Amino acid sequence: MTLELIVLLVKGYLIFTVVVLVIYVVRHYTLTLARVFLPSREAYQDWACMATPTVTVLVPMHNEERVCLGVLQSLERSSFDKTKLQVIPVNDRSTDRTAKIIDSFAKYHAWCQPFHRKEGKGGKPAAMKDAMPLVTGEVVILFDADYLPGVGLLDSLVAPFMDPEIGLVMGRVVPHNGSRNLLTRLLEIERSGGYQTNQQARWRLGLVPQFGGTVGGIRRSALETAGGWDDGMLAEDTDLTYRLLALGWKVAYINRAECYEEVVETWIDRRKQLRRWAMGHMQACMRHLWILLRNPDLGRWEKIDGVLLLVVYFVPPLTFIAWFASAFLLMVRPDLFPPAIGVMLGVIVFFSIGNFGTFYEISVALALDGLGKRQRLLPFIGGTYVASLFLVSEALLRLIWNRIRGKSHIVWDKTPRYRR
Amino acid sequence: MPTDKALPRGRILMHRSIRHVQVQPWRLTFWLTVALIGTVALVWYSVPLVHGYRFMVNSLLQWTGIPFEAGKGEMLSHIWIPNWNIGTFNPVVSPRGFWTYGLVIVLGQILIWRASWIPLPLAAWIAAILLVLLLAILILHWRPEPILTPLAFSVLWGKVTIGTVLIYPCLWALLVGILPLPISRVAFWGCAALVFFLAWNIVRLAFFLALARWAGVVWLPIGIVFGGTLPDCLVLITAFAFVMEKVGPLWDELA
Repeated sequence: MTLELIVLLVKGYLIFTVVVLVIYVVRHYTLTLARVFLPSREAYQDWACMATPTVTVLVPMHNEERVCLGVLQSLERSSFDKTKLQVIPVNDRSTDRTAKIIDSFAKYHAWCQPFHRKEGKGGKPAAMKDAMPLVTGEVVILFDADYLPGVGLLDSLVAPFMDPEIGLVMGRVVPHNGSRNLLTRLLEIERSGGYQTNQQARWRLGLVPQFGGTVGGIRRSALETAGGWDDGMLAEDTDLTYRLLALGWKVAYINRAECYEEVVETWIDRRKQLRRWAMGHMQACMRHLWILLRNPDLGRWEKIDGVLLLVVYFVPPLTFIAWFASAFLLMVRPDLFPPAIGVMLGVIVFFSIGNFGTFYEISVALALDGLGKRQRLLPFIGGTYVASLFLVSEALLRLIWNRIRGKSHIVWDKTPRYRR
Repeated sequence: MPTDKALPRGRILMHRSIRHVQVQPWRLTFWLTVALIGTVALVWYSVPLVHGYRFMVNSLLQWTGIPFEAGKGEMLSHIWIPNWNIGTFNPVVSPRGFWTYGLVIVLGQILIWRASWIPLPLAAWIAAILLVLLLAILILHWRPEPILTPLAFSVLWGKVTIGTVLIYPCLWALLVGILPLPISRVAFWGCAALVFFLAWNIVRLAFFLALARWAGVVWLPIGIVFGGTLPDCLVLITAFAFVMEKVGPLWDELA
């Protein structure tokens, strides 16, 4: 009797997982086909270089001596009107030569006004929160310290703010060290799928592109209305996206606004990074899911897409458990497995297409990007997929453990830099 | 005569951010028709195909020196699924076997995450396999009479294989046929993937049956969870990658 009950529960769980995964499969295919076949939506490019608002660029830096000069020099070369530009390198308690480097740069550039933070809470949102009183621009643009913005990037990112509905703008991130090793190549193609296909399709379909917290801009008035940065969040970008959505602001994604970044080069660093993203995203989900569902300003599809984006990091643990649930059923009741050809084919379609959805998205993105040779790495994504199942599940367990212990503070792991 | 070489150029490449493809419904119609014909042909020739499949598995088992008995098999709609009865054993019936397996798995699980020289994806795959193995030994210690025997395993394997083969042509047509790819390339890699899939499938089935014979019945769940649809999917992805690798401009080039 007990076994029958367990089998029933496991079956129910598997059916639920299949339903969730099918929803995500449909999402993957819809976005991929929309990206491939629909012409691009108006991306405000024609408005670039027209009457522009004043802009403040925030570049949070914590021990960034290897890369900090690169981002400042790139901003120096920007075509954006320097009389309307303020750049604040936020030196967040650095113990290396970061402070010296940015101070010596600022000596010769009036638009560069460093902010040195000697103490306080760790993490990017906390540093940006402390720097906000210095901000004078109507629009705040964010770059991580390892980014290398191109000449026209600021103009492209600022142009959408001419639209009064736009509160957040996101650009495209392109790795510059993609050829370094297998990991960087895999991350390069993942980024390609994420931006070229996923973000662009969501923007094209009028859904909810995600603000990624870098290569992006925020309307300062919107940020202030939303209550500013929350230093308790690990994924301040996701948190901000949903806080601004709740207030009725729209998010724009500009696929043309490409900026080079440095992706992590070791698996250990990748592990820390993915864990941080997963924990932050889950934290944001717990905070915003209910608010999003009750938001009257969003359309039905925007809500559905917003929910799918919010809960996306819960899918790997769900799948992970489903593997063991199906192994359990196989061992105790193999006769339960597809008795008729119809169900059988359904299961096969799910497994084949379900597993294939992400690969399809990435492959199409690589074709659009003209990265033919990188297609050969697609099977390797299978390896990283299993790794992400482990890491995201681990992140969920850590989050639950922190909650049980009543520990709200989460340690921020800084991403190391590799530039030679 | 213009001296600037850029001037006579009539074609301007579209920036990658705005590239897209024109929908060509005839492509999808064509490939879906071909796929349906292919599926019908597979069903039509299912008897010789299944017998060929059984012959290959038998040959591999004989080659590895494993004694086996052919089972009665099962019917899946009108298609007969062969199965194999292999002598196996449950290595975790005794407390000694259970604890030995258990300790090795737990130790392996700890070591795999501590060894920083093992790439993360490889560590994750090994760890996942060890976890399923752990589940298998717990269940087989709790219920020593195995339900997932080589006979049941091979029937299940056959069902999944037949289902995959039958759905494969339409799946391929839907994925690749919709994109403007060269017909010869789509056809070649589509057929190559199917042939490779079957050959690889035969090798894997024989391997897992051999594993059940030599190492015990605890390894069979791993065969289904990690040796079944996941490697099948990787075959499909690899073939898809080869098709997409040499693709020309997918997009409308002229701005």
